[in-house]
Amino acid sequence: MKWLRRLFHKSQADRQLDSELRFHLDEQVSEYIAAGTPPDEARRHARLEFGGLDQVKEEWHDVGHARLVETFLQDLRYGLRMLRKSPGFTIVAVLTLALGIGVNTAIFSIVDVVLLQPLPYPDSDQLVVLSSSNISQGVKGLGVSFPKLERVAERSHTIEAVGAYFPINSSLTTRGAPEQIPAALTTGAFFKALRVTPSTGRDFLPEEDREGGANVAIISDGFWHSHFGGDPGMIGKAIPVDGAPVTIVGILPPTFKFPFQQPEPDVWFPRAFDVPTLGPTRVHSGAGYLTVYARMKQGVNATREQAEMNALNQGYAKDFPGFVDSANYLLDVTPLKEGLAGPLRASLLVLLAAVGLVLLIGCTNVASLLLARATAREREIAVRRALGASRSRLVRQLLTESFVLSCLGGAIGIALAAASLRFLRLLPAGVLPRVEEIQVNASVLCFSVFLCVLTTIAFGLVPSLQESRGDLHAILKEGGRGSSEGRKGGRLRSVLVVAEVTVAAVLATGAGLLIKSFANLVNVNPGFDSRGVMTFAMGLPPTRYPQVAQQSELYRRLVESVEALPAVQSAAVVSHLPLTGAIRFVYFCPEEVVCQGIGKDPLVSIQQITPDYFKTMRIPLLRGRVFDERDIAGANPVVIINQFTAEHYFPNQNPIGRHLLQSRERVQLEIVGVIGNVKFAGLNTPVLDEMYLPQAQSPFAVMTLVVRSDSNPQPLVAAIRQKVLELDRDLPFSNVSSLTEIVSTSVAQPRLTAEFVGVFAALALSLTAVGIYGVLAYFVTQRTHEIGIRMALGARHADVLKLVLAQGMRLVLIGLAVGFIASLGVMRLLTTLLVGTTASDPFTFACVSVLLFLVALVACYVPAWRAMRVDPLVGLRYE
Amino acid sequence: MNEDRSEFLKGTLDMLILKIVALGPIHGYAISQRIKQISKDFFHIQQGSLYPALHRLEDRGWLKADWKETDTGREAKFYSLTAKGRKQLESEMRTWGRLADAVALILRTAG
Repeated sequence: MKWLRRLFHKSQADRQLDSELRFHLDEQVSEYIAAGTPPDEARRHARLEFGGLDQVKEEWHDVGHARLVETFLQDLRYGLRMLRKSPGFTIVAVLTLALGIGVNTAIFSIVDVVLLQPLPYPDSDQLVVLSSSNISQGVKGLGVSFPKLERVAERSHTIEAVGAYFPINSSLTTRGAPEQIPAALTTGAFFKALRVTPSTGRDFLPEEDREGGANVAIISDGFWHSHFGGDPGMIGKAIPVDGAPVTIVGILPPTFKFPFQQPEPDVWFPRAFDVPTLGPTRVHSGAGYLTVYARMKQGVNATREQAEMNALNQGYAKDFPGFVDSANYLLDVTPLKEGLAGPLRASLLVLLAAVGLVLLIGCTNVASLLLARATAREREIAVRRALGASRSRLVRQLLTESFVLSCLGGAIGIALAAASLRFLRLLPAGVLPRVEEIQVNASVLCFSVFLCVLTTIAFGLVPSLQESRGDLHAILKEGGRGSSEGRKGGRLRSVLVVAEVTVAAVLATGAGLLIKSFANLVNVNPGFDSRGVMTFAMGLPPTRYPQVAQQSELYRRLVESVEALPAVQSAAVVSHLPLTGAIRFVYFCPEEVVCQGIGKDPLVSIQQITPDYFKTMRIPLLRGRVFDERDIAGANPVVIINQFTAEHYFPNQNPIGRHLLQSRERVQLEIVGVIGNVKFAGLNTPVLDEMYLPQAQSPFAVMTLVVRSDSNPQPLVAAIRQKVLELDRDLPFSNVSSLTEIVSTSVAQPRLTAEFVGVFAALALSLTAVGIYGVLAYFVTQRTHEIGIRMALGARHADVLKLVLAQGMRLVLIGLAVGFIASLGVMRLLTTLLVGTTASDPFTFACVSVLLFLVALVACYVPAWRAMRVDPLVGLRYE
Repeated sequence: MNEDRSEFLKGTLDMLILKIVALGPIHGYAISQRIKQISKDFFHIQQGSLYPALHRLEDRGWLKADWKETDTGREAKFYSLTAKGRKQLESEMRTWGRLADAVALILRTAG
């Protein structure tokens, strides 16, 4: 490591070499003098023979590694000096790079957390989610039934631990006011599968997960602090949940996150088989409602797991033929991360591509700037070469300058990215999973540094190679201007402009398609009128409303009392609100079809409502009537279906008066009305078969109150809260939101994608405009002399304008043409994200072309106008 | 200096320097003189090649250097051979011997 020492004791080593060489020289001189040569002659002779002292030193220096680092530091200092000398150039270049690297850093941060980083559980690659799918109906992603879960837990050889959860709302009365708390029921080895241990207290005991077990709960760290002040004595204490005391046995660690459920549950209970809205018969005969997480043993992968689950599934179907999920049901294995990130993958990759293109355009601009500066530095470089600098040395030095630019730009860009990422937290919950984890972390920093190096090469290499060439003689002889090198650089810059325009065109086309697609999505008629409707989620605790009659009575009275409010136009409750992700399927068979029983019959989505539901949501009634006072418990059971179901099962007939049979209850329902279709599962998802039952005849404990009103939301919410409390002091409601918010949140992801890509496209267009302006301004400066001549010879102002414009627009048109062709190919990759528009939509392509053309025209116009105003006399004298 | 000779010399300079130094501690100027002398003026080593070579050899640990007084009373940097250097010299001499034999064989037969 002698070279390392030499690096630090450079001056000492230098002095030593100096002495050594001087000694050699003196000895040589002495020898000559001894041979009889006169001293001056001897000295001169020795010197000549010796060669330049400094050159020897140089060559000696080149031997060690110390040289490289030393050279780099020297280049760095020189580069910084040069950049300080031309502040205008430096600022523009650094800002352009900051923009490019900044947006890339920001998007990569999102990609890193959502797609790349493992879930916040130990060894999370081994976690999978099990779900059911009904093959005959083509429905996937359904919950798993409790018996099937037990089967898997008992018989699987490939699973280390398996458990399930089901989200519920619980009410907690603290300080006199009832509060709705997001909670969840768990069963089996739920926390063990995730490898989460309570930081205080313990996990559930097996006896607590069985029928008749004690009322216990595990709470989250956040809830522990917000409601109990972090009191360590909470373990063993009971809290009043849903009117009954529940003992806290464990508190989860502060680092525990559960990104799969929004809002994250604060309280966790055991015995997920005890669900009030389902009832034990359904649960134990195969109703699917549980979200199951399993940890595969080490060395097992998802494919092997799927194979074992298929086998277990078949065994289950054979052993329990009467169960709901026997025939026609599959058990699917999906890696847990996939479930969370999967739907976003396409959008995020599009965003990554978009910012990559923005950076590309930015680099093109900076390369162009460097080329322009090259001409100004021609003499300086030529002189250095004449003094003996090698080409590689020069290239290295120029690249170092470029690297400095990249790093400066990168540093600013990273800072900008870090600041702007905070704003992501303002998005509605669930739009971006794990959003609180998104930040500029170590891997993102590495990525950014890598980008800096990459961009340096991208924009620095060609100009460096360019600059270090050239005929020394020519450059040094002439005044330096108008050399053939300048022309060569100019041609290169024209190519860069064409490239920029192409890339900008592709990006703008992508943005255009996504925006159009999103506009289509938003314009889809959801089937109801969302303006002016507020929604309130409510749940009746089973401890205080054990009988269904009590449940339906409360809701009836609630709707009645709310409708009495002067500001309210109409109100109703519904068991499942559209576009919220909540859905429930039951088996049924229409009249005149042989019922095969639960599990084999067709599925229909079911909702329980009060009579004014359709009026409140403004869902049109197409045939028959809506529910009214006649449809109470004990009266003739009735049902209303949607148009889709009517066409599906009673094509070209009048379904009014016909009957549907519920497969499980075997109750005949008379169809009394047909209402319009609703986009229940999503604005972009097909319509489903739906049936509505009056809640008086078919009560459901968990309902959402919907209220249509013209007035301000604030006083309305307060008034309604008052009405609820009048009916039941301990009944809270949660999730107060307007229906428009709900609709808007359901399309939040496509909106985000379209917005982001739109912004990036705008950035790209601006950068391209700047690039075009730069090249053309340079072109005008180069040709000022020529323009002067032309004008002196009689060219009019307009001619000059046309000359410059033509020069610029020629490049733009070539770029547009290439961009057009490229887009035709590239846009095909977007097809999965597009709604209601093809990947080669001519309208979008045309609009983008026109927009780009206009932007380019404006960018060309300014230098052209300036050229026009050149005074011919000045131009002629210009050299 | 003749082009052919300088090419020839470059590859073997290290070995020659090591051999000279093996004879006893010696400074740079003396090395160049000695080589000129012993080779009967066949090899003239340019200072530009000598000193980089010397420092390269010192870097690799084959030579070690000390500043000592010459008999004329001046300070000069004296180089001497290390144990590693001695081994290196022996190995290079062996290789050189084999090379010389091989070349001689070919020259003889390629009549």
